[in-house]
Amino acid sequence: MKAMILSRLTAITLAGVFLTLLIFIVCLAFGPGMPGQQAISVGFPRMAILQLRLTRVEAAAIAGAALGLAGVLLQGLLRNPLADPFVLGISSGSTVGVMIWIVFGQAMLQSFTSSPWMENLFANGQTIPALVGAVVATWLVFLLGRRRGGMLDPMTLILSGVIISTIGGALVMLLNNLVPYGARTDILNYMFGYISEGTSHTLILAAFISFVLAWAGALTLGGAMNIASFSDAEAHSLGIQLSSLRLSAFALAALATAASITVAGPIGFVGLICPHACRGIFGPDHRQLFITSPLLAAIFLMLADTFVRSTGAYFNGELPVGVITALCGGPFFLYLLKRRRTWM
Amino acid sequence: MRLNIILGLILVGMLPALAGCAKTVANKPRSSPRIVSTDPSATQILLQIGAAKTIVGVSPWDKPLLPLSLRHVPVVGGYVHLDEELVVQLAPTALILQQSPQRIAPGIISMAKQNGIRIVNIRINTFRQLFATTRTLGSISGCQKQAAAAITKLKSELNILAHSRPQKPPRVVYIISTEPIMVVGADNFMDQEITLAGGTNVAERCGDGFPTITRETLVRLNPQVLLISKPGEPVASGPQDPRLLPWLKLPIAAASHKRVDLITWPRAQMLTLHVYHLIRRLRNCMDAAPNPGGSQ
Repeated sequence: MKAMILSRLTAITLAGVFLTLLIFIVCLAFGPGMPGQQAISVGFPRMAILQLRLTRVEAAAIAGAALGLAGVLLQGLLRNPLADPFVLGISSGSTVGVMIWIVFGQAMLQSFTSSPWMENLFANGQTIPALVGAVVATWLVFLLGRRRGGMLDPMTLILSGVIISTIGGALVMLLNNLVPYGARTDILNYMFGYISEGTSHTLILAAFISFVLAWAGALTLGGAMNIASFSDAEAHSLGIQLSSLRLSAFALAALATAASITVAGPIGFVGLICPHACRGIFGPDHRQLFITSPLLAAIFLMLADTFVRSTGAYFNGELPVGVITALCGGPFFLYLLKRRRTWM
Repeated sequence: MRLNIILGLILVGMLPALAGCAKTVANKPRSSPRIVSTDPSATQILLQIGAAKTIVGVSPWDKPLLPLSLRHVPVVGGYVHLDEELVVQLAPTALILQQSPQRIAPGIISMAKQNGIRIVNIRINTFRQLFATTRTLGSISGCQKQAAAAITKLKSELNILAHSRPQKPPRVVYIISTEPIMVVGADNFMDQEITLAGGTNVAERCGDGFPTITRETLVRLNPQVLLISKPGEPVASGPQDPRLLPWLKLPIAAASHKRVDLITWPRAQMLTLHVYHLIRRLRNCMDAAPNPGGSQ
């Protein structure tokens, strides 16, 4: 039986990796054409342009995979089918970070331009502030979500996330009034998520390493997460240390979300819909979900980003990728809400 | 019972304050022009035609651009949230907005009607609209002559610029927001500024207004001059400035000839009567551009 499961897992992994690589190559072949002459360029371009596409498709793949992984972890941890990485206020935390950067960053930049290290850091634009904001929000949710004895309680955790998210939303509105003239467009675009060809290779590498660490950690939790999806009493009776399991799952989800925010900002719905789609296709086994969901999410985000990257000529400019993921994810979310009675 | 007494005392205590509000409104003189401007360009134009004394309320974006003598002027909000109560208290003769007529909130229209405030809905997106708006602002502020003189002066300045355009204008892309990249497209005043400064806006083909483009499109456009608008930020410290570095690495003519510049003038994204000075600045950036070649 164990051998059968292992061979099934190996087959799914190999097929998934192959398909992801195939889509990766296909995405490299699409891009915007020369404005005024050609709407979409199909085929492999010269090296300078190919490098730009490569950066962006890589970033989309990593961000998508990280969101897909975080989605599975959080839905398992919170026992809530509607949970995704941003239900814990991480998205609004990162937006607050960016807002603070836009409002106060100019003064900071003036203070630090004498240091080459700081110059390098600031050259990465909104990424560092977004990451700091996300980490602070995650830490606050973690502190609020603990019960006496240090155990994470799913219900308290999700409520803390909603509260932090609401406070973050209020701070965003407050800071919005202090934003310099002309900077509001940056914020609006950031809030919908954006993958840039200008992302530095250092950031992509950092995000990739974070994702791989989170993925490796999650793969070791698969069996325990399956048992933890029963009631607390059943999980305890089967020898699962729920306290440490929840702590690990939370930390890994935060790490994966941070990896995604580093390269793509807050992109919604990917972490919600991909785990559910995989559950529908492959079943609820977390050992499979930890492999299939990141791969499917990587494919989904690569395709969504390639779509917005290539179709700017039809929309009077490039759409934020979050618009496409939300347009696909929104109806799916409503479908889930409608099905929820039978789910529970 | 005790609660009722406390509430009664609070209400009695509030009466003088309410009376004071009413008195404030009643005492405001209405004979001289009093203008509330929610549009930074309009505020700047009022200042430029010598109507500073008529400004009694501004938007939050105006505050850093106002001269010290006007920093005390209250902020009434902008196009998103307008503090109607404050507007009424300020008793203006005119309220300047820049919105499509259908989007003006009915509450603002009825508030203006009840309090005898004239709504002046302007549109400043081209030079022609700038001249029309200046005339309107001159009329409502009692500075018609100054407005007419400013228009004449600007027209002659622009005329000189138009007649001194280079024969082979360099290909220019003007970025107004960097992540994602938003550029100056067709049919707006910044497009006109590029043309008058002696360049050809190659991003016109990307769409009207301010379209968002990818770096790949920017490489395909291959501009010889790349301008990046950063209003109010410090001037670039040189090619090693961290705000320029990512652009200087792109495979475009502007990068290889070091023709990437930051436009840090605080009013760089506004159309005001000082547009001539901005165009001169843009022209300085373009003058040193290499000879035009074919786009990739």
